[in-house]
Amino acid sequence: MAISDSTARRYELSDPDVRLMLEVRDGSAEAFETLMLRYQQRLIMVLRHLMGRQDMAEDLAQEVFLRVYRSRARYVPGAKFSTWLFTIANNVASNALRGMSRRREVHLPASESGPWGAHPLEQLALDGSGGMPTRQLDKAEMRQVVQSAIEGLNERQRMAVLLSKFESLSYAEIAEIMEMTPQAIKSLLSRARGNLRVAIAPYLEDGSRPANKE
Amino acid sequence: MNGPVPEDDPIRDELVAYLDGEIDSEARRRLEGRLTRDPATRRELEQFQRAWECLDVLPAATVSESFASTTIEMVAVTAEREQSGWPLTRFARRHRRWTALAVGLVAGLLGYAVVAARWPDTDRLLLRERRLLERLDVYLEIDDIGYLRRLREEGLFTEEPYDASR
Repeated sequence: MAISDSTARRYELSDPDVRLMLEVRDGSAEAFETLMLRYQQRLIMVLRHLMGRQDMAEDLAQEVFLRVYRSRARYVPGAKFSTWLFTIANNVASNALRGMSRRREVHLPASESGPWGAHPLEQLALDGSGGMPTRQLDKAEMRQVVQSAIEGLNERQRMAVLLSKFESLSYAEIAEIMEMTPQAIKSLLSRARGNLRVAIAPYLEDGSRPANKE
Repeated sequence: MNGPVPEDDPIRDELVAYLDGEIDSEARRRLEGRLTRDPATRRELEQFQRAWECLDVLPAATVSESFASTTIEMVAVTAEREQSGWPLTRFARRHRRWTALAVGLVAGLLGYAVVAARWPDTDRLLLRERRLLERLDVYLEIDDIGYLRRLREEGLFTEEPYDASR
């Protein structure tokens, strides 16, 4: 869909990152480096939690930046720069996930899995069912619970949650990135957050592990 | 309503949208009325909120020291590859109109040559067969070539010498 001059002008005026990208279009290497440094951590954060692996997140983030660079000559601002960037990231991540053989393609290597191994929720349940005294979850354990809850979501739910939570994007912006309608994003996030709630709530009931988990 | 909110209750969508600030004023008013009246809905909202806040424990991304430098190197390689095809592209872009005109002219000449080679020149054909055409009316009346030859032998076609070999 062609972008009107008025739309392009509006984003150019309102978004400093769009102006930087226009400088990249006009040949500025410094502007590209500025954008890369500004977005690298945010991009890797989303990709890290989407893919479950730091190394893969960095590889994909580099692919995203390369695509940004390669498409600079055709760049016309039809959205906020971050929306455009994460649209590319969504496509790159989707392609990567499609190329993997299993849905839950990421099994954390033992060295990255924390104190409970690759299946922390199950380990917690075993510990609880053995009648071990309950205790407050420490931050590392809670982190493991939350990471497992995120990994329990499907790809689209995970992407929507990450964009909503860590990029503070609106439903309309997430819809644009994921090529869905805002109403569909609303439903998607509702299901995703419901799943997160189901996964995490037992550990929040009284700030401790559940005594028994089926 | 004192029991838990049913799984398929559409109020859950509204609760999430409410927390995300993605709800219109009318829906907000209705939802806040229900929240006031129904403790189960309040508990749902609180659980959604707490689970969402738990995501804050996720670690911030770490970026390896070499990420920026390797990314820049990859971009530089890409730029270099593009640059190797740069002069022709630049020339074509700068002289776009003349380039288009030249291409059109060449295409036109080529097309003319192809058509000329394939289609017969009717004028030349007419010139070659002029003698036949001048007497075509007569020939059409006669359907026997042997009869025509006899007429020729008798000198009917006087402007040309008789040649028995023809």
